[in-house]
Amino acid sequence: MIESILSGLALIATWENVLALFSGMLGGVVIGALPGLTGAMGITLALPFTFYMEPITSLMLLLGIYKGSMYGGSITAILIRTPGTAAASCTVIDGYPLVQQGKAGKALRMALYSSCFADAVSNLSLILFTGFIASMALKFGPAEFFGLIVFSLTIVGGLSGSSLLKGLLSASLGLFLATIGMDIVFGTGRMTFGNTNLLAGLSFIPVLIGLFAIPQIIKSTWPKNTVTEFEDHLGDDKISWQEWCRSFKSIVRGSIIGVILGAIPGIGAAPAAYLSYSEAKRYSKHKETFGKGEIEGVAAAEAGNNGVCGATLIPLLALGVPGDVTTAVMLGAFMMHNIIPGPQLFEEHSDLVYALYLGIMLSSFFLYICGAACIKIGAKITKVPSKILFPVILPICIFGAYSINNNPFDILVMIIMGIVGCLMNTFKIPEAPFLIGFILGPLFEDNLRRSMLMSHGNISILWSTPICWFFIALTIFSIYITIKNGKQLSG
Amino acid sequence: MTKLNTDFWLGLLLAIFFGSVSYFLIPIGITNPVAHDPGAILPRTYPQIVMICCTLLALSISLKSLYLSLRHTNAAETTACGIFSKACLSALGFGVLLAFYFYIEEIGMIIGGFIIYAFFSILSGERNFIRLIIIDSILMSLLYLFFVSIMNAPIPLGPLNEIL
Repeated sequence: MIESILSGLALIATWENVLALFSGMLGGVVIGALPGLTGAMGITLALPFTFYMEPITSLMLLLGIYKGSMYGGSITAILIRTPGTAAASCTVIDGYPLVQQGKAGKALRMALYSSCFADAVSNLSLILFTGFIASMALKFGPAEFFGLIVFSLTIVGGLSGSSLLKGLLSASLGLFLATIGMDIVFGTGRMTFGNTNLLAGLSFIPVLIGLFAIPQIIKSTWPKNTVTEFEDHLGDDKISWQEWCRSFKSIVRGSIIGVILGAIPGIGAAPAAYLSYSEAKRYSKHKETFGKGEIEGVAAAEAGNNGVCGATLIPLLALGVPGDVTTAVMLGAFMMHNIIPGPQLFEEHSDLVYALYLGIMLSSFFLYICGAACIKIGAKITKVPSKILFPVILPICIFGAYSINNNPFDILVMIIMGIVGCLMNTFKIPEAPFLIGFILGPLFEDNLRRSMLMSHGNISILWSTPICWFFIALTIFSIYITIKNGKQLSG
Repeated sequence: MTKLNTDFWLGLLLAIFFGSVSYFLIPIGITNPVAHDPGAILPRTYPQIVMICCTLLALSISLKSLYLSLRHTNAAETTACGIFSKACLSALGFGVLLAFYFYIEEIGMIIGGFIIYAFFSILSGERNFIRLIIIDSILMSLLYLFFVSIMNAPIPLGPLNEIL
């Protein structure tokens, strides 16, 4: 083992690999920050360039882009309420109000620290617990997934703000819009009305941009005395020891949640971010400040979404199963270099595996450097007047929405969701539950229907294993706590 | 009886809308197969259940609002000063965006984006037209470079197709 580690060190310790990792990280941050562009897109663009590189160099570049994009989404989410990635949409909830209070620097710094911490935890989990976590992930079938998704949906209660009914309505609407497209069992169109553009369903990024960014851009055109102006500087960007201590438990909890959900294929970073946020709010002594600029909320959201990064590589490396779209593209990179991920990877290419581990640990350090540099650039963005900034964001959003599928229809989706977002803002219906319903809806329905097919209609499959019972208990507990907190707040 | 607030009418309207979707739109938009596995949930079932839940939640919002307005004597809701102007500006903004979408093939995304930026900039209060044109030109150039030259996205260019 020592020899493998030393071989790995020799493999990674070249200037090409370090440069590839750093430049990938920097590029990833930019890609993640731009609305409409995702880490998966960035990796796909970079993939052809890696053909002529050494395997470890190409993996470092792609890894850097992946991790950078995870953090990059939070910068625009905090500064201009335009999440660059789905996972960063949770950071908007408390990040943007902090900017409005003149604490943009504090929000960005906390996002950076919690991202780096969660990333390090995730990397350590990958290195130390790959085998164990992979074996646990194998035990998840459709019924277990369904239990997990039902539990995840209970976080809607924590995101509903003052009106649980409106939050549930918002989530139900998200669940419904997620059904548009092709039925997964029968292959028939649902709510497509013959429009082939809808067969694949509504694309997530245009929905995200429309719901969060477009209402903000429209608001910028309103008479200035009706719009809350925010301080156009970073403000006090230091995090006090008290704030750090208050947030630390949430960061640790969020990191663990991110690791667990990241290791399960198909879940993704967004549910992890929202679950982490919801749990932080549940256990916080300052519940009433969540949603109004609570630094702990930013820390929890970022810890959840970055905790996923290293963990999504667990099923990829250990089982050869990609955890999400991004790791699916990385699987392509492995195969391009004739490396087959899976159990035999650790025997045939142990030096490569250890080189990857060492590179991953280095990536947390580079994430801090890139993030700290971006905070300085972020200072410049806050100085741009809103009459210039928001109109600039609009064409970027339009081009970004179009580039997802090179289809103008996605622009129409973005505009319509913008109208929906404006109406939701007007009638004080929270957007976050809608997003949760939209993200988790396909997983919820798919796993329910698969379970019913497997059991030939016998519903008892949904509580047939200890893992299912575990999630049922968690769900009941979560609902109880939500109702209890709701009574405390109204009482 | 005190004046019913916005939530009551919102809930009622949404309940009617969701109910209509559930009972009229879904049966039209989703076809159930004739033959299927006994364990298979039909394509229409899940969306209909979700819509029924939406209808019930909307009704609950309405009833809760009615209950609260009967319980408390509310002062009549005051509308924010300028609410009409906010609605007009929002409608104008969305109108321009929709017009951009419908004429995207004719005018192209570069010219369309230029117009969109200029329009929203003026609407947001920008009156320095030289700065507006400079920023607009740089922005469109950068977007063209990134999305067309680097990403090779086949964006509609409209009249610029022959030039670029």
